[in-house]
Amino acid sequence: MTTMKALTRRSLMDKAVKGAGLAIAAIIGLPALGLGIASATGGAMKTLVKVGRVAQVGPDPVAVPIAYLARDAWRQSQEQGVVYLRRPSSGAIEALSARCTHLGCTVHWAAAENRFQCPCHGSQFAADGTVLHGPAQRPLDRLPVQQRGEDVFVEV
Amino acid sequence: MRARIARYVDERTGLGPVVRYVLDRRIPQGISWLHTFGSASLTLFALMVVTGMFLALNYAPSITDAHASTAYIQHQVPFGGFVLGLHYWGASAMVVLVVLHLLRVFFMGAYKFPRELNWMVGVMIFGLVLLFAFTGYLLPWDNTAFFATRVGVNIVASVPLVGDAMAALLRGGADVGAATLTHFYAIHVLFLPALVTALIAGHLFLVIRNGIAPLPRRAHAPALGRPTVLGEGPGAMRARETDLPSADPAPVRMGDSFYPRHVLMDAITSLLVLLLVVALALLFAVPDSGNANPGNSTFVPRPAWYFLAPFQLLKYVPGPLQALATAVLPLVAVVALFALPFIDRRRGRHPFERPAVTAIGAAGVLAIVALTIAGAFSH
Repeated sequence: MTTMKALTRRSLMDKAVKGAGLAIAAIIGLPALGLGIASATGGAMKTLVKVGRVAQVGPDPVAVPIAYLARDAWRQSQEQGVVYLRRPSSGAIEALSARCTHLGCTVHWAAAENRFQCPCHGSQFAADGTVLHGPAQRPLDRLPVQQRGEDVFVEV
Repeated sequence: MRARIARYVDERTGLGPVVRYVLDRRIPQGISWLHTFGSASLTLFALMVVTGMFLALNYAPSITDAHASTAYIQHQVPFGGFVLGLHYWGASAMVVLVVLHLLRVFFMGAYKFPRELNWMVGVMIFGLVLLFAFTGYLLPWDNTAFFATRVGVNIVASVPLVGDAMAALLRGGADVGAATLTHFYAIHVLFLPALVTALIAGHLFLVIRNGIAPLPRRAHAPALGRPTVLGEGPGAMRARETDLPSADPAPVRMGDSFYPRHVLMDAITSLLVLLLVVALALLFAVPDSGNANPGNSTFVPRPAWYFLAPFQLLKYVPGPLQALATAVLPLVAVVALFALPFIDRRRGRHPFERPAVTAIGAAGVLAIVALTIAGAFSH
């Protein structure tokens, strides 16, 4: 009888130790782990930049220099860059990133040859961004465009 | 399945007997809640390591980014404010628990043979915990951090002879600035964790090697309780020869095994301390006094509460004697604390059997508490 009691008491304490240990581990680990996983959603934030007026955009890509306040995690910095705007004969205004999808050099529009050319490794893209010539594997990135009245905004 | 995994690991590591020895070793009778402060300190250290690692994911140790990245953690990153709060309040709790642990060992005379080395390791850990607190305080790079650190480092500089060199090493230059922040960061996240982890490992090894000190008894106290049961292993055998008050022929009375009862008590204290830290982190946001501005002439710096005592003491000491309060007194106290087992060499461990040590210790505690309270209420 006494042995039984002692055994029960011991297994009860055993369970309590495990429970408390689990609670301790949870308090120490879970909030930190949550922070770690949530950090994946931080970093650079998108921002809307005004790039011009609807009337200025034609069927051929046109380079628009942009300057904007970039927010990257806790940092804010003044950034500059280029986006290409065009309006195909049928449809809405499109914005293409000028960053080559191969290794990130800046492409430029060669109007005479009707294509984007990358100065680094010779990738070529059509006016709508599709690959004409490697080494790039995928088309130029489309940037989200918003039209507000006559003004055109691009998300960078 | 679990048994099979355990056997697999045991066959390849030999850990089984080690774990059993640690858990099943008999501990002396009367070991109580007062003996759980050490393990609670260890739990808090784990909290600080884990929260610190994850805070570092989004912290940038440069004077242009430190404050902004700390604010980013606090306000933008999900769970960031909470984890920052756990680290901030955990630091205070850690100082409290380590001090309580130290006082328990001090007043129970547990630093005597054969535990002198472990006492010294413990005093080193205590000093490094304070250095942890001091270096961590600067990292948010707000005004409080900047000016409190400038004052703190200048106090170090006031130590005769070596003060200037020590301060320059700490600061990495002539004044608190960019290099100070990277110095403190490196000390806080690289040097100290490595050192303290190694010292904790030694501390734990010695606790297990030498056993927990039995409660101090007065020499004439009649031997009571159960017949002696000595634990297994060298530590427990030695206890018979060494832990006795000089005139007491009765052997040490051993009680239960370490597991599960005392482990449960350890876990409960740890859990309660953690819950307190969680509550503080939820209730009180970590204060932010704005990005540090070294040119700010109106900001009145205040040290963290655990440094209020020396802060307040300085107010009572006239200028010429400043070095006495900032350097000589703390130095004597630290050296005396460290060398305590060699200063107090008598065999008796009961507080009343070493009245001078007990009285000086109690007076020191009272003085620090009084100075801290006075510091908290002064402006």
